[in-house]
Amino acid sequence: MKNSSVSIAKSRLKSLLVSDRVNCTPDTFDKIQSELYKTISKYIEIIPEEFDVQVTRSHIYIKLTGEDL
Amino acid sequence: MGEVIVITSGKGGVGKTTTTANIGVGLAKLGKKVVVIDTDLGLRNLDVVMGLENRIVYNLVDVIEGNCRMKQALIKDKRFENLYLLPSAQTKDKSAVSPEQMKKLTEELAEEYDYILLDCPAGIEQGFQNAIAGANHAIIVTTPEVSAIRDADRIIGLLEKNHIKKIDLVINRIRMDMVKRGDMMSVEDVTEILAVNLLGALPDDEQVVIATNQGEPVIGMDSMAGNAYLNICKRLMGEEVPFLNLNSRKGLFHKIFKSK
Repeated sequence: MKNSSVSIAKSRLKSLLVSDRVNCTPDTFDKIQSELYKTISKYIEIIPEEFDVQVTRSHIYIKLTGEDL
Repeated sequence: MGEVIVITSGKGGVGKTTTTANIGVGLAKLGKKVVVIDTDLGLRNLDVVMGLENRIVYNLVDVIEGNCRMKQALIKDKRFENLYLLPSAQTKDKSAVSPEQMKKLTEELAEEYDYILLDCPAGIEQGFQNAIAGANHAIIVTTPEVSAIRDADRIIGLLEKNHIKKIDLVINRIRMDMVKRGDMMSVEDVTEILAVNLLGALPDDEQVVIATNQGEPVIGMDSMAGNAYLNICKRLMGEEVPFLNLNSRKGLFHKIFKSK
């Protein structure tokens, strides 16, 4: 059921809101994400699959482990 | 002190004016003293939705410019003694009013009324700044569409920046048949994306169009939208009302279907 147009709408909104919130293009956001990974991995042991950056209206959350925020 | 609530959305045509009118009527019906203000200068609409367009003598700009007293400009509703409309000016533009003036006006009204509802114009320019200036609470109206949700997110960001901390969400025009097919975002989807408190969800109900044609509120009618608006009003007054399960309203769907 979820693979009809709603899932397209949600994934479009997801990247749209991130770029609106941090005022950058989706490409730039990808770069921010990979630079953050590089910087953090210098000091902390992390694996790419568990690393995630989330942008809300007031915060940027960096997830290091598989735990949910 | 009354509560000053701005009804806003960013995007136009999602149902701000209808929501303002119906929440105003609902709160009055529940015994509160209410003023609804149309802040859309040059594009007056709230008077028409409420069926009060023939009673306008003075307007918001007249009050602010001192051409009349507040009492002279407030129009008493046809049905409810304790509901008043302050109409917008049709011939002025946004620059006729400043945020400071709006703040003063809403403070004055808050001394006498329980609820002051501001119908905000679309957009994020001066009309928006004027409408939010005196508000301490905002109701965001959106529909389950990408464009409306995107605008709602920006508006919420701007409200947070302007220190309006109490922000509620109303999701309008939900079509359960489409949600079930996976072709419309659900109430849960939209609430999760915007991450603000859900105040109410309204079905796409043709009774709203019929009510607006007649200049009547939908809240008095036996309709899903009317019931949903009444629940919104009760929640605003602090009552805990369970959300209508738009999914399992077979009884009412059946009734509507059968009555055709």
